[in-house]
Amino acid sequence: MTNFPIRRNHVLTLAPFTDLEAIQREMNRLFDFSLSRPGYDDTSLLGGQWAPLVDIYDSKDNLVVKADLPGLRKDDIQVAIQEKILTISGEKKQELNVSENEYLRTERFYGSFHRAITLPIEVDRTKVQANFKDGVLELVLPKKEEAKPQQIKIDVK
Amino acid sequence: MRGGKSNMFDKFIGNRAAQNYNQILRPPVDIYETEKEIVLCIEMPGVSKETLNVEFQGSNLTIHGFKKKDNIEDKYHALYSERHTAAEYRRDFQLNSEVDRQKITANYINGVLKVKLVKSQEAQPQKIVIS
Repeated sequence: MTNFPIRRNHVLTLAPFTDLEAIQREMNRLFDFSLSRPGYDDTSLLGGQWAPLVDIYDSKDNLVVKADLPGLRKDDIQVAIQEKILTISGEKKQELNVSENEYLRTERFYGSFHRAITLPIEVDRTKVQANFKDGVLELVLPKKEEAKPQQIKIDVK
Repeated sequence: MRGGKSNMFDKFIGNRAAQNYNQILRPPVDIYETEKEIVLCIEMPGVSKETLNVEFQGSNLTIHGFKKKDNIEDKYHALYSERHTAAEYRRDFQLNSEVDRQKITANYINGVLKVKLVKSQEAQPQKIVIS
């Protein structure tokens, strides 16, 4: 409340330093938010937005995508591929049978999430293998035959 | 690491012992308390079960687990990586309720470690009948 100038009896009460401090705090928060890695951060400009951490690996025949999805069940995760865009989405549900006032601490994220990744190459989506173990999703995406790099042999004379 | 007096010393030794683990992560936790127990749910995806460790010392509860380096990196070329490949998850807690140490149970499902601490008889609320 005191951060804003208050007009009282035509006299403008200003608190310039407090205002500046407040602006600085907001700017810091904004930078912290946008520069921090997704997942483990507790500053939230958008109120608890969360996206799983993802790795992408490449080999001659496959792409492998790994995502950390702790606390989700296999059936709560949806994976979709459209052209080069891979989408991992789902909803993380809070444990049932625990009432709100029994919680001493809640740091984990709950709710729906969505992560879209552009793959570097087109994959054969009919042959995707998905495996979920210990909260880590692993997708093996075979590359499309025509998208694979072609090796051209050049005879050196 | 066990029985160390100074926390800083512990950490130093700990880092030396686990040089393969390049970071110590502080995983998010939910804690809830019912009349009889205190339950901790800690998100530690990708940990091998053998490395999970729940330790009690005085009123301090330490939970840690190691995430091994992925052998996928030998065969594949990493294009993009955000996940922590090799890391140590670690959380320390101080409990203010007496806990029955014989009845601590822990299980690891879908990357979440759930530790159940049963309160000792004295720490449980007593119902007093008013006559």
